Amino acid sequence: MSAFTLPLSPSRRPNTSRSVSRRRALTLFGAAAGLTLIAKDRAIALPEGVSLYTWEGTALGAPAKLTLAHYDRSAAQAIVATAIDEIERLERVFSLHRANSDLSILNRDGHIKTPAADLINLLSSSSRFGDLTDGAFDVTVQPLWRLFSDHFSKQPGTQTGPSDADIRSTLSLVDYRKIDITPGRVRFAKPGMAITLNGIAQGYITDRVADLLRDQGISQVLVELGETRALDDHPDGRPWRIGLADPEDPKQTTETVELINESVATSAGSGTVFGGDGRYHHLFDPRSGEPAKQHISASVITKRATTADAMSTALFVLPNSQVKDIVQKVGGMKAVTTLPGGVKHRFVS
Amino acid sequence: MKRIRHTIPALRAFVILILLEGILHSGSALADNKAEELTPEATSYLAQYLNPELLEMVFPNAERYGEVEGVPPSAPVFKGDTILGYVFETYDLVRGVGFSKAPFHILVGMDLAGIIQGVRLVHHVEPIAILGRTDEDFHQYLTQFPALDIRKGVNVVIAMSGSPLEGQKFSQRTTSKNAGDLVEVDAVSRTTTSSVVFSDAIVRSARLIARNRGIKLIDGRSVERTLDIDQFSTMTWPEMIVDGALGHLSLTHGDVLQAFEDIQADPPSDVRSWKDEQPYFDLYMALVTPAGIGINLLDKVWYDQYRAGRSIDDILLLILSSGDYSFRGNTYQGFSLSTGLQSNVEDQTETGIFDRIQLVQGDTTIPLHVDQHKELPFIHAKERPEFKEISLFFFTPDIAFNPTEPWRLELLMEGAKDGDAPGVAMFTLPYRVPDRFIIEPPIQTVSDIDAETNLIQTAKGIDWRSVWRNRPEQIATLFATLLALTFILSAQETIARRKLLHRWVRIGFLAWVLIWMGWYVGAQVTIIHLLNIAQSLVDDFDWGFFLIDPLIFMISAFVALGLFLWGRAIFCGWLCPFGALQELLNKIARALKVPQLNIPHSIQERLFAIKYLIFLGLLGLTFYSFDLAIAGTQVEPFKAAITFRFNAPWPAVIYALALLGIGLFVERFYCRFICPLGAGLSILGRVRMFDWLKRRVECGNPCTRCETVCPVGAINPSGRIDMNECFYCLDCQVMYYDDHQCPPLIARRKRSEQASGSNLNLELPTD
Repeated sequence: MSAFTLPLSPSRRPNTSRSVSRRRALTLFGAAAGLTLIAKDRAIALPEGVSLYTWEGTALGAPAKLTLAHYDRSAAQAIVATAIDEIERLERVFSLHRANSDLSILNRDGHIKTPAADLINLLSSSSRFGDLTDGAFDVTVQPLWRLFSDHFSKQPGTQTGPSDADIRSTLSLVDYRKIDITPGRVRFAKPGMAITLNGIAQGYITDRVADLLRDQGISQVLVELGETRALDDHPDGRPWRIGLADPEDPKQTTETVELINESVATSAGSGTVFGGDGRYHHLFDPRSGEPAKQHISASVITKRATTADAMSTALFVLPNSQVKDIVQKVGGMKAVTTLPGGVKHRFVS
Repeated sequence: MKRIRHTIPALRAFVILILLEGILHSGSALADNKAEELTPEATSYLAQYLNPELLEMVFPNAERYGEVEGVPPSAPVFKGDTILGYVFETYDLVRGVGFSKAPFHILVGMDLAGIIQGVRLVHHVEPIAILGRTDEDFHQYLTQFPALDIRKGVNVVIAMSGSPLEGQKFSQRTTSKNAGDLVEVDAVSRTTTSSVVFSDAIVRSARLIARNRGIKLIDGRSVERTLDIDQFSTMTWPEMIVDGALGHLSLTHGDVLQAFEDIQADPPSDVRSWKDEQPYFDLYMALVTPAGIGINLLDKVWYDQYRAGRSIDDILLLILSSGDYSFRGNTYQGFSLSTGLQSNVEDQTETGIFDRIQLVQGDTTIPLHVDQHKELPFIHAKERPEFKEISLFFFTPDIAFNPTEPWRLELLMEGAKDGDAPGVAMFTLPYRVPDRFIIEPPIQTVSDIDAETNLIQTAKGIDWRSVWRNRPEQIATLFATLLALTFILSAQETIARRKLLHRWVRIGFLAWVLIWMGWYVGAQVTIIHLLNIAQSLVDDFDWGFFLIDPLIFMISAFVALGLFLWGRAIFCGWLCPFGALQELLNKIARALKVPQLNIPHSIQERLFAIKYLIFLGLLGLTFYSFDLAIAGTQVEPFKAAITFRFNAPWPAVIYALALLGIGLFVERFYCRFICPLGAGLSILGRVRMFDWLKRRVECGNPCTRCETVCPVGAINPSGRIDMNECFYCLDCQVMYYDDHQCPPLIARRKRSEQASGSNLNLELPTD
């Protein structure tokens, strides 16, 4: 369920004109910014005394980047240090790859006592997004991932997925409503259940770090921690510009979105592929138990990255007819989905 | 590996010194055990030096020592099976180098309370013998260190009798803002640099070991920032909010609405949009461990009760709220607020966690547990608002919570159910205890002790700034002196045209240089300074080391610039106190009609080379063995004649007097033929870019008058001035302008007096 974006700053986008020619967009939403791609890089100078400070690292296994405007490099470094601490702290809660993370303990034992409030918070939010999307967003799909992962690693090169019977039995473990969240404790109602927060935790970390920076009086930050959130505008006085990755070739961007105090998240099946020519990827439809086939990419722009992350994950598994309804229901968001073949649909609530 | 050359050559230096100097002796290997080359495997000098005899000296109570171990290295010492403390070697830890810029090695014993037990200098190459100092003086100096508490700073007191420096204090970087807490030790007179660097190395090494071996230096705590828990002044509630002692998160109805709008969920059902500006919930947090905060909030009785009732190390945190929301929730008492399935009460009571609040510090999440919690009915702060909930939390030392570092309280607020699961908004209350409640660590914290980088950093520890601040009058006077010299040399023509003025400017300035610079403040630049610079260009260059003597630094910098304008003469002819002494004595001798020995040019040319050989020899030695080079520098009589004003060991005095005696007959004999510093400066003086000294076409051909006037024989028979040998006395310039002395001018004057003939072709008078 991991989602990704390919953030490219304007100055580092070598193929802008090609990207434009490759666009197959049918409609433009909002102030869709494809045309501004040609804007001259670095043409607008930063204000006197302001520099950009960039930190690059990883968060939850994805490339991570913070870009912030500052007058004092050492102050910027100190602030980034607090952000790095926060990333580290939240990885200890949400990482599937750390044996001692709160999430790993929960998956291993089926319950956890005294988790971080962040886990309670995010699981509560996840339940809410599950309800809002009629179950299209479900953090309990991890057993499906295990099923497919085991299947393809035992039979490398196979073109077919696990049997329907296996999928059906695994699906009985998939239901976010069977997570028992009580004060200071989380427990699974069924043994064998497991959670992945890959469809929402990066958005949550993005939000927490952005909030932390804002609390320290920082504005004009681009937080790219798996998902992307912009605080205020670019110091140049223009919006922050984010390239959306081409689902068929993540090294390319298909379009650029402009953000001021908004977040963008993208889910694309090409992120992790098990086999079968890309038909079997990691974004599962929690209702069918199969990798979702509706779209090859779904991007959501909304105020907070947590919402954008969860909603892009949910929209990826839904047909466009339902996408429209959900976008209306949740409100305050823009979405663009890409059908197999590259046709894009855009939605605004 | 890099340091190997410092050891064996020390022994050689010792032997050669004895051969060369006889009774003079220099610092060298002092310990009975021989300093040997470090084997490639060995990483510590401690292991090389430590033996039972030395242990007895540096840790008299100890019976035996354990293995040298760890980074930085030290060896534990024992009485029976009880560990008493550690021994360590300063060069291992802080790479201390002495006045000679060569390493010295001091073994130190320190007990577990941070008290120095003993100190022994085992190796050094400080040029002390020529100063009339012996190793015994250093040992005597170091006996001031046992019983020293390393928490305290050290003031090295310069007690140079009759010197303007007497009573000056060179502070170690202090642990205490209160100067009265400093321990004073008397320096070995005339070896200020050595005294200061020894003291510095001992204290910094000891603190490094204390930090890394868990010796607690402040109030039973380690060398970290600590809370000042005793300081108290009365403050009201609003004052404490302004001060930051009390953190405050204020949420209006509008704030909460906005937060839930952001997460696109419904706010709690009691939030009203029409109450936009009205407070919905106020959350307060304060660290009440310091009396300055705790007594103001809790009053004395409760504060004492909660402080005394808990261990001294426990941290107390007060969290209070007013408004309609509960930060405690019901959950810690066994009721659920959150979504999902209901679970039975047994499950809930075992957790006892406050699920609406948590602390976050750095990368650590700190949950709050009911066991830490005490509910208070009210508090006593002046001008306080009404509260709904008051909770006191206790943190035992096993909880990873550091009250001296910033942290934040995170509050979860659950929205209303709108048919779907409720949204959860998160609010943050950051907190940082005001600086006045924090005691800074005495030295910079070295968190990651990782061998070399750290050692190099800590090695550069002497604070030269305090030295500069302590000597404003001398620095100003020297500055004025250098300014005056610049003026004299700029106005050389004006001065040279006036014979008498030139004579007394020259004598006056040289006397000032000799008496004030040389004898009074001891600012004699020596070949050691030049060799130090040469060596440090190859090793690590450390400005701090050169800056520690402000006068020498200023003179050196001035001379470095002057080389471009005037060559070596700027120093040798004008700023060298020993040179001044020679010239003044020679002037007296001449006045008394002491016959001058004129060395023929052909011989003199060969004698000039001697000083270059000595200089190159010393320079070469420097890179082979600094110890040997230091021994060789005793060819300089400067220390005996200038620094010690002839109050030095008699061989050195006799040597200096002998040179001065020859100087009565041969002007600046030492400068011209022996001085390696002068030779070095001559070589550097090749950068000179200007010729200020005026010459005539007739000079050298046919006139050779100047050649005989030049007191140091720097004018060739060809009439050219050899700037390598010129001391810029300006005698030749006086001659140049004197129409009774300079033959071409005489001729011209005579012609004009005859008021006849042509002025165009000056001719020499025929004898």
